[in-house]
Amino acid sequence: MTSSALEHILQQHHEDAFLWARQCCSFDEDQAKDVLQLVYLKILEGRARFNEKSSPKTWLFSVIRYTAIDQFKKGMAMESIDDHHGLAQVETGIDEPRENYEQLIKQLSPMQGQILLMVFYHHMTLEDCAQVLQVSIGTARTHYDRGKKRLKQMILKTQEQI
Amino acid sequence: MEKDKELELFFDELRVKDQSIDIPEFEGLPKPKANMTPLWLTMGIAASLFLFAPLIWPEPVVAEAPTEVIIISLEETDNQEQLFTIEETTYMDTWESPTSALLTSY
Repeated sequence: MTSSALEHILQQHHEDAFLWARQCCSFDEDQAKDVLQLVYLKILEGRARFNEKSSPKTWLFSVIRYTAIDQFKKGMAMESIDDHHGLAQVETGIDEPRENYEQLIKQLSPMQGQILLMVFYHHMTLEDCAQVLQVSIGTARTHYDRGKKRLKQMILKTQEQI
Repeated sequence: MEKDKELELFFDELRVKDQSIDIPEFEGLPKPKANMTPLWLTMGIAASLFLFAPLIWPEPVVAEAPTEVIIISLEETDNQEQLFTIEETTYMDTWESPTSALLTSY
């Protein structure tokens, strides 16, 4: 794939890529900017190559997710999705009423939150989600079903409290 | 894939809320860093190499042909005495041994 064709794909998915990077960085915009810049650098240097086995969006989302995880592991003042979710649960608790949509998503497990975001927010299929998360379709479906059930409960609980 | 209306509504609202997010413009892939070596430095290195090249890389010594060729031959006189004759010359195109006939005429 030529450099210009790749650049065209990235431009096409830039907005979605940024929003996904933000979601992978616990909804932090500054961290999302850093991660996305690193993703583009990885692609430029050929460390992340699009092999056309999946859709460009699926490939890009996968690179973004793993770059966000790598950044956390390198200790770049980036909270991991996993830890943040765990922390949110400890600090706030599920029973506390929440108007903030992001806070509700943070209360889900990382996998559940990410799958629901990919399916409902980014309109991706479960097959795509499985590829992004590098899990089997069965595992993806389990996280999806449990996530749906749990988020629905939280939404209902929030509505009752309001 | 079964979707839930309440969840769809939840994420639709989240998407609407996210429209206020300031998304940075796509500026293309980061460009590789340009060569920042100043021109004067490049020119200086080139000039130095040109001037000091003979010191760094001396010309290879070419083996020259010897200026003199000495031909020593052993001849037999009429009295059956053996006699060495020594000839000196500056060059030798062809030289035939006086006894070369012995090799072919037998």
